[in-house]
Amino acid sequence: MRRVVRGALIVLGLLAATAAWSDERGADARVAVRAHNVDILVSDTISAHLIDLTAELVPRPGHPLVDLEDGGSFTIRVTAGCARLSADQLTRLFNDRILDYEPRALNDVHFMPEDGAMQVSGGVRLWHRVPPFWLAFKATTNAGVDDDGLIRLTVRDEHLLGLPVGGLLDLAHTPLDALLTVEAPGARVAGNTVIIDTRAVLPGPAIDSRPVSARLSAAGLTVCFKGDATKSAPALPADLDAPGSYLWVQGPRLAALGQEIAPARLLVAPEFDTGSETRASTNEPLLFRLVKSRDQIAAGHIELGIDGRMIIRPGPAQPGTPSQNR
Amino acid sequence: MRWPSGISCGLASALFVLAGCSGPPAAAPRQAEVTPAPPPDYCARAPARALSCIAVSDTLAVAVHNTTIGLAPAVAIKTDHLRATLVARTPGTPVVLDDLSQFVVRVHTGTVRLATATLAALVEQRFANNDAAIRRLRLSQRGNQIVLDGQFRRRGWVPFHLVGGLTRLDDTHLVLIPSRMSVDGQSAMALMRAAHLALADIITLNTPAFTVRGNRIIVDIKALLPAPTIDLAIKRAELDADGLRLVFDDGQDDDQRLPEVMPARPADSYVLLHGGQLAIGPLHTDDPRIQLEATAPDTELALSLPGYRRQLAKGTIKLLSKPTRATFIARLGAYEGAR
Repeated sequence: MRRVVRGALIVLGLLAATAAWSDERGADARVAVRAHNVDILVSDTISAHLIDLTAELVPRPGHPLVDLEDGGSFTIRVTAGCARLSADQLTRLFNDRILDYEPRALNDVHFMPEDGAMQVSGGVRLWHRVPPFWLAFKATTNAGVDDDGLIRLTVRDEHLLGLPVGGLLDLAHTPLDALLTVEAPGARVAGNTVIIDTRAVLPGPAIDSRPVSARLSAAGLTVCFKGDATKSAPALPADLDAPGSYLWVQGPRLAALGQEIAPARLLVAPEFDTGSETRASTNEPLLFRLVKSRDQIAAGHIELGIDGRMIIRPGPAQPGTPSQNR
Repeated sequence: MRWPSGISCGLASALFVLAGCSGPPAAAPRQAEVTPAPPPDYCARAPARALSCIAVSDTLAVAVHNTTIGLAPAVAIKTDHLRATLVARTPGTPVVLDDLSQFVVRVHTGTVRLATATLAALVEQRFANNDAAIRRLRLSQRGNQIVLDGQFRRRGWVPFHLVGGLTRLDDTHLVLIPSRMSVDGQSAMALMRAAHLALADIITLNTPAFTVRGNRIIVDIKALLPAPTIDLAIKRAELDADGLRLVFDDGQDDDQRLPEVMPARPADSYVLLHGGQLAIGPLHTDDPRIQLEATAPDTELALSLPGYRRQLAKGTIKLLSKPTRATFIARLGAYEGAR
């Protein structure tokens, strides 16, 4: 069986980079974003950890400006940096997004860090219907990115019902895709590899970027886009003490919370991050909803500086979201 | 190299005893995402006139309750209640709260008090320039009488002392009628009457805020107050020991009056802004719903119009989560005396 799931991944979020953005219509309303040590929720359960990443939010055709309450109003173009999906985040991505359809070949997959790789376990049905119950499988996957910017999770060491079957499948020259399919946006099986396209795999706003590298470690799947985020715009204003975890958003204008903010200079940071308190000292990342964050912001508060900069101190994300499980 | 699917299928059959020997069939399309049921409508349970629930309006309205409004240094208007609209001088543009010259306040109804100190500041600031006809003017109160001490220009500066009552003249003017006056320490009223001299014969004063006509000093309240321009109609003016109490009413019929609006959450001291277009710093809002409060609970709000941004910077803004229409509770920091 070779299946194995392989994989995982996602790419996270936001970004990437590729190619030039040809639509100039929203150019004057582009919003630049810098994320540092932030967990971004792109749905109720799916999140990605932005290690250090910069991106542009570009209004989509028909939208005069980026509206953070409307994920369809903009595209994310990553300009530099890296993001990471922990094993738990990979698990949620697969179960809540990639495998969220019926009938499917894989079920309830779980990722666990392994030395330089990721162990994947779960249930499998061949051709998504045989047998009528889920067969327990386990496998190991590696990760990489080719020149096409697609993340490839290559599966090996497959076990079925506790028995090693990888060798048998190899002997029979039976690739994984002969036994199962994955029919999800941005994810498919080819040979023994699960191929993930960052442009389509995540829910929420469209991402117009593909990574240049991906690697697995105990921390998860780290995906990097072209460019060094520490040298990429936007920069956090020098007069702001850099919090241990933050989002900095700036642009000529954007919509949020039912208002237009122009110019937009927003810092999203945890409540206790300004003075070296608990969060800063533990470097705990802020968990923030990229879109439809009204409830989370309502659970916190906003500060409006005399210079027009807004500081958003979000409350906790909804109960049950990954923040409680990290 | 990939084996024919039949071989693959056979291998799988051996492993699992399965049937069916075609390649993996296509899976069903992703199920349509189920939109969760919307939460119960906040406004179905809130008071009909709650800030978050009143109808959309093209008019930016303000409701003030138990709040002190600072207009300039030492100029604060204690407002029991007030309903007004804010109108940009350029039609079709939002009211920019950071620019007090950019909009006009049209008062519809209200009751306010100008403390003696505020009256003094307003009057004294108008005559701070030595080029004026009057200088070194000081206003105070003695009971329900206004006391003015200063110097008027008449072949040099001549000190005077004047006491009189302040009453309503018309919708926009008050009148100060001297009952006693002395010039350079000499009682002047009897002499003036005997000589058929009026106050206007002695003091030449014709400014936007103050005019001397006959024996009356006429005060134009609209001109007296600093920016923003306030359109108002005084229906009652009463001077008591604590200052001047003014009652405004523009006389609109009940069906044309601004509707009563209740705060989004219980408060006894607040300013509500709703409807129209409003810019507060970088926030540009259509049909805003904003409730201004003091930071400290159960504390009376003191709002400085020229300094509200500093107060905001020292306070916090809360977004209410339940109303569909974004509603903000802005808790303002300490009042800075309208610096």
